[in-house]
Amino acid sequence: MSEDRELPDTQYEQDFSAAMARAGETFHTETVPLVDTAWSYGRRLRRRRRAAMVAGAAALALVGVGGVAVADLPGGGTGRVAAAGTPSAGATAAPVSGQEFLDLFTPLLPAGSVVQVGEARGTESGSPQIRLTHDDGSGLVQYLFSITHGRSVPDNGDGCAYATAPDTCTQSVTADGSLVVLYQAGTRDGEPAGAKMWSAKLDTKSGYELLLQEWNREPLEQGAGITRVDPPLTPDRMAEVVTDQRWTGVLAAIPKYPVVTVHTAGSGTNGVESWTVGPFDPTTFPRPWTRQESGGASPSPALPSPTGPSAPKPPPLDGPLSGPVTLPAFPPAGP
Amino acid sequence: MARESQLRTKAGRDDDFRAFATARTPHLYRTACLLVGGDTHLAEDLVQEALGRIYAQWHRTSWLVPRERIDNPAGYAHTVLVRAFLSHRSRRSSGERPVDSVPDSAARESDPALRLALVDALARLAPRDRAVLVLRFWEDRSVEQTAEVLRRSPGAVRTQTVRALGRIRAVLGDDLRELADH
Repeated sequence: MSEDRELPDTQYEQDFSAAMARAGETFHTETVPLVDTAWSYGRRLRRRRRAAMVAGAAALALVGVGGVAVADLPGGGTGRVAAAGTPSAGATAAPVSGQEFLDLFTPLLPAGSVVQVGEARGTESGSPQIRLTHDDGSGLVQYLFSITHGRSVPDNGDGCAYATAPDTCTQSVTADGSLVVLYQAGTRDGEPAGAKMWSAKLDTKSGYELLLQEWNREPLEQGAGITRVDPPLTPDRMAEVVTDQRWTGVLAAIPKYPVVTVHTAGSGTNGVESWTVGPFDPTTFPRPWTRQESGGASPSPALPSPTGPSAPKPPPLDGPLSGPVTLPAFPPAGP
Repeated sequence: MARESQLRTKAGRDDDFRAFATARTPHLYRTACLLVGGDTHLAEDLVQEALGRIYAQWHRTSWLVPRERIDNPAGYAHTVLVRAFLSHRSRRSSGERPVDSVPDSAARESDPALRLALVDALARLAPRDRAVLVLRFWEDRSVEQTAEVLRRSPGAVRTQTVRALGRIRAVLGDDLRELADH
């Protein structure tokens, strides 16, 4: 490195900043599944912390009162936080477990065998999801099937609004007004040559999104090559899968918002206190998601205003990132 | 009833979180893509991890812990993301993604030469070099703010910025505008 590179070069910094802006704005993703999973992950984190906190407090209290460090709590001396979904909050059917969801899904695949189930999440999560690797004898395939509460259709109703060549995207509206979007994506940057991802997405009129994706490789392995030329399910077949009537029962079992019963140490019977979180007002959740990507400009969210008497004022969303940042402890105290 | 009021408040906070996360995810994802040098799967991981951590603090009220409030959620989200990136690398090998990839239906870049070159150049840098460049030139944070996020002194950030820029300049060349025009 030459000596002058040790000093700031204002022009180069400006050019680099502009280049970063142009390059960064080219990355886009689907927002709803990311937020949904983050929400579930955050809830698990919070439950674990609460359990750890309660266990610690209970031990302290017992030591303080009797000097006996034996915590008479469920779970063998540690606080226990158990969550269980219940069919309410708009759900009209009993919960569908991850295994049951899986058992509904696999018969729709081509003949063959399931090699590995990466995830099988039931309706109690509020967002059932299956991820598995399947072998039909012509090469391994990765499938991801998820149902989320919330639509990702742009305001103009065009499900292919963000498709760009050479990807292909077709869409159709069903008799009841639901939208089916079939997408065939080619190889992305960083993916092995010939990698393909095809998807079928059903946005139901009632506000659910059923998304089926298939890859001609194992996407969990970034460096792994393709396993076949094309994924096995044709777009039409994928459309049949996401519009299959069997999902009606799964949709009915999804709470409008997960209802979680929490048992933890407290003043109730046997030192256990229970309370229920939710259900939440289905008119305010989920929000009508608004896709933020607008192709170049910084996101300028046009979020719906919260409704209902208790909705607090939303935090500032689109303010500049500069300015004072108050940092709570990080990483947060974990178990 | 107090309990009902409490539940309504929780519902409102969850609504707020989802609205916040939905609004910020596109930008967080772009930041993550630059941080990880174009690995979009890992970028999604990081966004999910960062948002999950933020949710865990979003309404952290307890009789055991005084209420904490995130004064600038947007800025804090990016701080969490960068720190998650820096801590993520050491434990990446065993991690399974919390969710698989989602359709990248709009990923076709309008400026492919620039994106490819820049992302490739970023990928060649050490993680902390990448983090400092992303914070300074993509997030447009000041030296002091960058220092706070990275838990380093402002002087160290200045030095690292100049050196990281020098390294990326050695890869990309002197004329970034020419690169963008290709």
